[in-house]
Amino acid sequence: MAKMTFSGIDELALSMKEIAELPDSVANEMLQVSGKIIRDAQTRKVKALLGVRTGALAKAVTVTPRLKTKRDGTRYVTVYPKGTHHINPDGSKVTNNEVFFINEFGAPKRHISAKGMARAANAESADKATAAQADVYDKWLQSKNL
Amino acid sequence: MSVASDLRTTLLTLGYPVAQGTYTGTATVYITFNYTTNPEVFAGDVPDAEVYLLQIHLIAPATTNTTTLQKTIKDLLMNAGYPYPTSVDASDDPTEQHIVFETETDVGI
Repeated sequence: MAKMTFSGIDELALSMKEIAELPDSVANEMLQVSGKIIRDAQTRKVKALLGVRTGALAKAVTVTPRLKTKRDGTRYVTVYPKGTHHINPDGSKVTNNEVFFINEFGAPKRHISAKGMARAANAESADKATAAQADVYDKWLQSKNL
Repeated sequence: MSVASDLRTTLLTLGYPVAQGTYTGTATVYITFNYTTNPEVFAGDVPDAEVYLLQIHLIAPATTNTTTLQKTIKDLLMNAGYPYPTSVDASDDPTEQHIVFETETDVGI
């Protein structure tokens, strides 16, 4: 009677388990690569929509280097404008984050119109960022012979 | 009808002034909107559609309870065919509330 046997199934099962437990180093690389694409898109949008005076706000957009994890296990990095933009005459600091937020959503009383810079940049770069993540993931799968 | 006039017509049913960009009237509760566009669905190098990323702004005195109005705006947009919007409290003045609703629509080119 014919007998069918399989070999290597244990290795495959192990590999699938490894995929389910994507290492932080790979997740971070995926997020860093895509974060930098989004950062560059936001930087371009800031320059395009606000113009360039000192260029400080555009240069301030940063990707956090360290991987963060939410309570539900979702891993992420943050793309945000880091640092101080200027200091008011009363000595209070105005952060780049505040200036970006005001320009993103506008401030009617101060006659600052909403620019939607981050949203436009994120939409524009989403496909490219996802593809870049897929490349990193694919290389990692290949390293596992999958 | 253009994206802007469609949106304006939809929002006007709320009974508050609606302006694209800046509102110059005297009402204390009003709505403004703006958008950016993003080309999509490329055939070769030519886009087939344009996505309008819409921001709708509800401005009201800080003392006004706008909870129901915010929900009405979200439902109105959804019922008019827009994806259910996200909302952000972008108030930066203690006397005024500024709620931003973000949604989108796409138009073939």
